[in-house]
Amino acid sequence: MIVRTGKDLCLIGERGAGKSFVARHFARATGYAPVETVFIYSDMTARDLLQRRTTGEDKETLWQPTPLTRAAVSGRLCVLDGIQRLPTGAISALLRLVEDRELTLFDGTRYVRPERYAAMRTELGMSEEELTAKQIFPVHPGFRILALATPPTGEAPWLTNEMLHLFHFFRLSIDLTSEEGREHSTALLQAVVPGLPAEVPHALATFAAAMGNMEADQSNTVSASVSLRLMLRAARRAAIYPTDFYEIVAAGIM
Amino acid sequence: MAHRARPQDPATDEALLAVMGATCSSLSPERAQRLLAFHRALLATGAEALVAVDSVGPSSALQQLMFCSEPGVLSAAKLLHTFPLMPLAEAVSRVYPLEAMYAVRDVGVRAKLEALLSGLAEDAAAGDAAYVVSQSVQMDSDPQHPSIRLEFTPSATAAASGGGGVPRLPSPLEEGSAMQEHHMKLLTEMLQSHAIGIRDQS
Repeated sequence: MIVRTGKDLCLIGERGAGKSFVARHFARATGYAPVETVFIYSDMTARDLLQRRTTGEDKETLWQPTPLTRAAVSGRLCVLDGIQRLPTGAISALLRLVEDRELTLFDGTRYVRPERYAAMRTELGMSEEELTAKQIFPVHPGFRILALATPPTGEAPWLTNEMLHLFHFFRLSIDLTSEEGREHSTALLQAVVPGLPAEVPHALATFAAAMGNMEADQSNTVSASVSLRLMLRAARRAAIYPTDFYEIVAAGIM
Repeated sequence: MAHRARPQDPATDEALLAVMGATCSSLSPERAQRLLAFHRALLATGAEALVAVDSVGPSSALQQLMFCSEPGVLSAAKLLHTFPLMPLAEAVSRVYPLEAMYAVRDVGVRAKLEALLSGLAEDAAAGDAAYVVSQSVQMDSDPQHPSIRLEFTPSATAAASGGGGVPRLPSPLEEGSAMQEHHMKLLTEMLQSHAIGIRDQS
């Protein structure tokens, strides 16, 4: 009996907390770089996720594989960026691929898990050519998914029972408003941006913390969070064009 | 012939223990039992919530109570088999991430779940190692299915799928590196989960 003991991975963290950075290092550490990336959007359909329909020069229908399908076929790592935005209809298309490693595409092509493909050959006595003629192919055993998501909220409670059993979950949680968070972002800016004026990292970290506190204030209607990504952008600009702090924030963040 | 719905009971403890025995041979029976006890307690809490909904009225918070599925329990067991010094609670947190669940902002639900998770606490000697990934090496293997060997400290080694490129671990001490200690810890955890693979023959 085949038992699904392992799972694909899902990294949860606030916007700009460094999820893509960690994902890049995971891909490098496993030799999967470069990866296939799918940026999820809220009205994405199963077609957008698996196989897109286009029209050829002779007005004929052409089906094009998406990065997710390419990764499944070639054994690469697919990063699903923003899985919290995936609509219910597309989740059901994803379920079968994640859980069973199987896929039926819109042009009739079927991808089955490698063990099942091998069983078709041995138990049914079908040759590779016969299976190819029937448009049946194996999903590559090296195929993996790394999903990136922001934490679930009341408006987007995406972490449902359905999603819970698809992945192993990891939390990247840095509270930029805390003392530890400020120290962390100051140290990161100093390490990553050479030539940064000495006072800028701490000033940027303090500014980000103040903005974070402002956003936490329920009475404030302005979205004011400053992510690590924005701080890095401002710091890199400040290293090239050292100027006063107002200018650094205005040009690099606002 | 019309399709008919039939109830599907959860797998019995004996069935789950048999699968664990076949796929997770180094997992102690005591830890396996504690994993199953957590799984059963969660199911019982859900069943109680359903009764409450029938008799008292809907409780939206408890309706959102989420379950650690049987594959989730087996997956946690596989982690503990591969990384014997990993605390039980850490293995469960990978498949049942309480801190990330929105529903647990409800105080009542959170209290129930925390009480269940506290049952996973164990003696430090049973499992308290903070593993760190120390090496990732490409293995000579089938070029159609490249694999890597992941080494962790304290001693744990696992073969895992690779992408075919040369694996390279980051160094948090490298000058100019944005990789910090907590990133390295997170990367280690992700590599641990990657190292257990996807499917096993039982």
